[in-house]
Amino acid sequence: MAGETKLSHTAAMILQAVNAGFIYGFSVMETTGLPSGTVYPAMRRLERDELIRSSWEAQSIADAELRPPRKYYKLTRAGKLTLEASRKRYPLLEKMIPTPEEERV
Amino acid sequence: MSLHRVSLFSIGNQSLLRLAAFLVPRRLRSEWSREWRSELWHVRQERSAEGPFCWHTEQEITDFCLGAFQDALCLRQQSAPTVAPLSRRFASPAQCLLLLATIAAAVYGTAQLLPGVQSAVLVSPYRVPRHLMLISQSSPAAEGPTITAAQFRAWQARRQSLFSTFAFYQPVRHTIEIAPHRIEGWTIARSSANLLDLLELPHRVSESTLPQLVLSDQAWKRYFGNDPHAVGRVLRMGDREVQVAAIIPAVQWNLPGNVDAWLQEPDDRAHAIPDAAKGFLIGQLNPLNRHAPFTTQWSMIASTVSGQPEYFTCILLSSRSSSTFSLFLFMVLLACIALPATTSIPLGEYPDAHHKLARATRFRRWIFLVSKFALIAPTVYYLSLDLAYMSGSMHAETSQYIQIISSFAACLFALRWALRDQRQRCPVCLGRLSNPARVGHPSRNFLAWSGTELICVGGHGLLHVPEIPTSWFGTQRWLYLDPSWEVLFPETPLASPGSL
Repeated sequence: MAGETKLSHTAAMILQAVNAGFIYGFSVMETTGLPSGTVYPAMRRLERDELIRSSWEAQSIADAELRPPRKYYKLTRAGKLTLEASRKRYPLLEKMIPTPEEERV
Repeated sequence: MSLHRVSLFSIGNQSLLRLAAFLVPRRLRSEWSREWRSELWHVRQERSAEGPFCWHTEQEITDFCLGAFQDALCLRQQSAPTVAPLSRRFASPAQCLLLLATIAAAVYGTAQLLPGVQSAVLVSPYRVPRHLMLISQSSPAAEGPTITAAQFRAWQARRQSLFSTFAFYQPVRHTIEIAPHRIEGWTIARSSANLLDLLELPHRVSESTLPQLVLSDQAWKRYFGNDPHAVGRVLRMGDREVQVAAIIPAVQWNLPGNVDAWLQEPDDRAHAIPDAAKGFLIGQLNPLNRHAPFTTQWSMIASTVSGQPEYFTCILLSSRSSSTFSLFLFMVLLACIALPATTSIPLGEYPDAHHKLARATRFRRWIFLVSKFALIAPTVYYLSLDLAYMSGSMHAETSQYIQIISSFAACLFALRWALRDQRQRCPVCLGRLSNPARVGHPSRNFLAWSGTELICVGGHGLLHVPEIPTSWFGTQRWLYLDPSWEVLFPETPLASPGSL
């Protein structure tokens, strides 16, 4: 997937949320306000298109905190390029879900 | 009490996830379940932190779990092999024409394999078909034998001006002993000795004094298993012996009467056919007679054996074989007349005031429509023949009825499809339009148009199809999009609209 790939607004919002540090499904739901039936399928498609990739948290960390391990999502290189293109297309995206660096500014 | 309720809801939510997991492909199921169970645990922890049992919280958690079904279905679709729907397979004009050509080739190939179709489409198996007439005493539609042997003998004995000679055959059931202890019931045509000579069908004249039996191709295959040494064999027919003289190929006989073999009686034996026995009569027109009619069918009045004048119908043999194509052409004409009742004929309005399309582009659109018609015509013709002559034992009249009905229905359906398909294609790229959307309300028809809007995925334009044709919006209208719209039409869309 190249950087010029055009995303729908929902997909761009989810990509922006993952980039902003909301790296698991429930946090993306909370940030975007989208229901689970929209967020998880969208993340499957983004992963299929290699815009994000997932990895399981180490079991030892989860055991130490007495909770089950979570699946975390991270932007790929192609995902970052696509997000850049989507920000130009949807200028309000960064205002809706600001990244931590932007918040500090 | 509230703790009991929470655990009850927790079990319910877990059950929902387990149920949804069945929709996920087996190889992905364990990881998918692990992620959703983990997420559910975190959701419950987060929501429980807000306070004790609350119906609203449990409803939110249940809603979260219900989303698992959509996720499971999404995963299932992703891992399933993509099978494009039939309408999508027609998307590009090349694909559409290729599919039509494939269907036409398949139908034509089937026709080549069916011997009934072969004999029906044969132009004429006889060498002088322009001079051979089938004479019957009643209406031409009658398929059974109508001429008595006495009538044949009377005409043969009398000097004729219209016909130079006659041949007669009478199909009868006979038992044939093919081998010891193997007796079959055959339909044998007892014919005058000149029948095959008159038709100029290839057969061998044997020196043997035994009556000559000419087998049909069907009987040779069925009873002799394609044995090349069948010719010359002596068979027992009733109380006398006959010798197999020849085998007539399937395509070389298209006269009425579904016979297994022809028994050529010497003239002295031919007189043994009872006078009252009815059969088929072939007459050869006298080529020197200048008054012979040039039409393919006519009626004549001739005296019968009893001296009474009677009407006889004469049909040119060559016209019998060409009737399948004439029927097809007539049904095409009827289908064209009926077509406006099933769909509108105009292809729509394509205003070119602002968008002057290249002449080649406009020409390509018409070429595509003509190509579809050109492929549909042989497909419908051979399809109707395949259906009509599928069974060799079917009555000729029944076959004609099947051909009439099937060619009319197939032609009407195919023409309707070709026009509708053409209307739902972009005039620029000829791709199928997609994403139909309803616009407006029929109740506001006087204020604004209402109907369906379709879009070209290449971004060339929109098609507006009115739901109720009006004086100002009578037919579908094409709206060209200018280049400023290109930003909305990516070359490789990530997902189809509505998927994300």
